[in-house]
Amino acid sequence: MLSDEALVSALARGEQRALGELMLRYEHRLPAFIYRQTGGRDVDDIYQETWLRVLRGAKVFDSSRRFSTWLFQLAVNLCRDHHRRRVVQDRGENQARDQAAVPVPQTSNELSAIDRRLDAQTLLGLLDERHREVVLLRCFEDMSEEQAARVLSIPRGTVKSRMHNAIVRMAAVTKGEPG
Amino acid sequence: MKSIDDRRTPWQVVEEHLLHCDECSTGQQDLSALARILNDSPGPPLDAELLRDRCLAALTPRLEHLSTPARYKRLLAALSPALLPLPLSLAWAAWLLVQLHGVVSAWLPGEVATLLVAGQAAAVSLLFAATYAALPLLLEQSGPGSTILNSRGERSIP
Repeated sequence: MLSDEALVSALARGEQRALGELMLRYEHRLPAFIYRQTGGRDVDDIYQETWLRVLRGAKVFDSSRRFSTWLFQLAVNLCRDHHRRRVVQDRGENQARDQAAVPVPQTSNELSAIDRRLDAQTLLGLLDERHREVVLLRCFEDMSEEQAARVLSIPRGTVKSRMHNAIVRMAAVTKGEPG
Repeated sequence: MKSIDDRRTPWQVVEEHLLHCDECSTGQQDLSALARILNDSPGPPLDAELLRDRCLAALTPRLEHLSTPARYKRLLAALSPALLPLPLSLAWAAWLLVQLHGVVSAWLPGEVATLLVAGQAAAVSLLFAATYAALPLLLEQSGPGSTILNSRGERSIP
């Protein structure tokens, strides 16, 4: 079986099967990552844009790097762009309505009262973007601290401390939940 | 418990972090609820296959545009009609320069006239070279799939 990196080289030569195969390999991981990072908004567009960038960058891709690192770097950057655009759009517009659509509970009591179906997506919604990125890459993509650091272009120690802060935050929220 | 594609579950990763993180291990927090949530939560409600098929369909024209044989074919198709009149154009330009040299040398010393016409010849050559060099670039710009629209019909992020 060809490696991801070999498939990118084939893709650079315009081989359609290589793109299909790469998409198949990341069929669940990539859209799930985008969904969790954006809360399910514009997943289709970000997903497509990520692969378009893969297509555009295939020729200059350094095959000594891991493809998955590059792919998630592209996705992380696009999610950040998306987040920035959302913030601008929301400002002064439908902020109140959006907040109502995605409730962000503040305390465990509020959580218990509002929604007993507390799930991972709600917990992730409580984290800010930087912490959420780390949790998603480490916990949901099972990346090592080293790989997550490479994807996010931050030191390994920062990954560790963000992970710690995220766990503390999530644990505080779930304290009132039945184990 | 491992996930279907042999990756660790989110909680297993958290557990590993707890083992190696001094700050977390001294926290003494009850993490059983967090463990349950991370282990039991279903994946995002996405039709991954549909998403992939839609994306592949949108990108295929772009991919065909990138393929090497197709690129050479397009380049050849674009260059052929442009190259056919090239000898005629060059001969015409040379004839004009010779005529120009004849006119200018009647007014100015021979060396000065040659210098002026040589400058003119260089400018004409540069114009020809730039025109033909622009063809592949124009092909890249105008090829199929060079514009991808998102679900709102907007042009994709450049």
